[in-house]
Amino acid sequence: VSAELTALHAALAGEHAALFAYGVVGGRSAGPDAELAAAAYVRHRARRDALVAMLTEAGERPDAPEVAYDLPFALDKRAASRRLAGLLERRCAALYAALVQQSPDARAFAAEALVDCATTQLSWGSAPEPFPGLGS
Amino acid sequence: VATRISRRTVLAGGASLAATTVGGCSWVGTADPPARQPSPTVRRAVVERNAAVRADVALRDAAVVAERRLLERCEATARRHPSTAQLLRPVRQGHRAHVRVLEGLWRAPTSQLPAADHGRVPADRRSALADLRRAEQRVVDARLADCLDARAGQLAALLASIAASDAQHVSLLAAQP
Repeated sequence: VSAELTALHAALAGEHAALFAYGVVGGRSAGPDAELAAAAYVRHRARRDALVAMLTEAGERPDAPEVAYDLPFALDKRAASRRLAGLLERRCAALYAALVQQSPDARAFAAEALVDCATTQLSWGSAPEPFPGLGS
Repeated sequence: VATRISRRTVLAGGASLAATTVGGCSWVGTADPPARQPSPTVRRAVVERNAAVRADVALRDAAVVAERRLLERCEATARRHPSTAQLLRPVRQGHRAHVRVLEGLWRAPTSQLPAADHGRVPADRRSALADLRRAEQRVVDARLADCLDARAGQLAALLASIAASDAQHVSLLAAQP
């Protein structure tokens, strides 16, 4: 499998995980946080659908989501939900930076996604980073 | 071959492009003259390769100029409105990091690039921050456009990441009263 297809599959896996996590976060949020989670969920879902379409067009079989995902920490407090949302945005940003690098065809899509993940990450309370998606 | 582009993936999260370039390792060589008596095919390949590198260096140079200007604008804003200094600190740090990594990509010097503009900072704090926010947004759009033109995938990823960082600055500034 080419690096380009690997990056596409990885981005899709990341969006599946993000949708699962946002489902959990949204269920535990209220007020502005719930609105933020709902809006982010819609954007991640649109990107998941786009990735499924790209993979299908490339003759690949897109993976289905896992049945469940292990959360990296317990969501016992509201702050933990925000932290989880920030974390998954950061992870998706890294997957899209890789996709920008590997796929000329998906580059515009991936670059826009990277920008969106970086700004959404900020709205969950994360600090700005000089190189979102590439590590510090 | 000087211009072999590393295709190492950053998927695992281990190989960080920024960290690699901060370490002073440039991934694309400078455009160098062809070896003696190459075949026409090789010569054409070298010419094309050098043109591609020059085009990428031009994108890098444009990004350096834009980031230096934003840095200067941030500093002028913080001087004129000291109450913004703390807010602008991560923004300034971001632009400094962008310039440093961009400059490290190629040995081709950036010292000859055009000097920064000296736009005036509005006397009103809110207008000053709004001006800065618009300037950051223009640079986000410019880097996203350049990202699509980059020949090297790694340069494209770096330009997209810088656009994302500057977009974070836009959000940060937009959240200000």
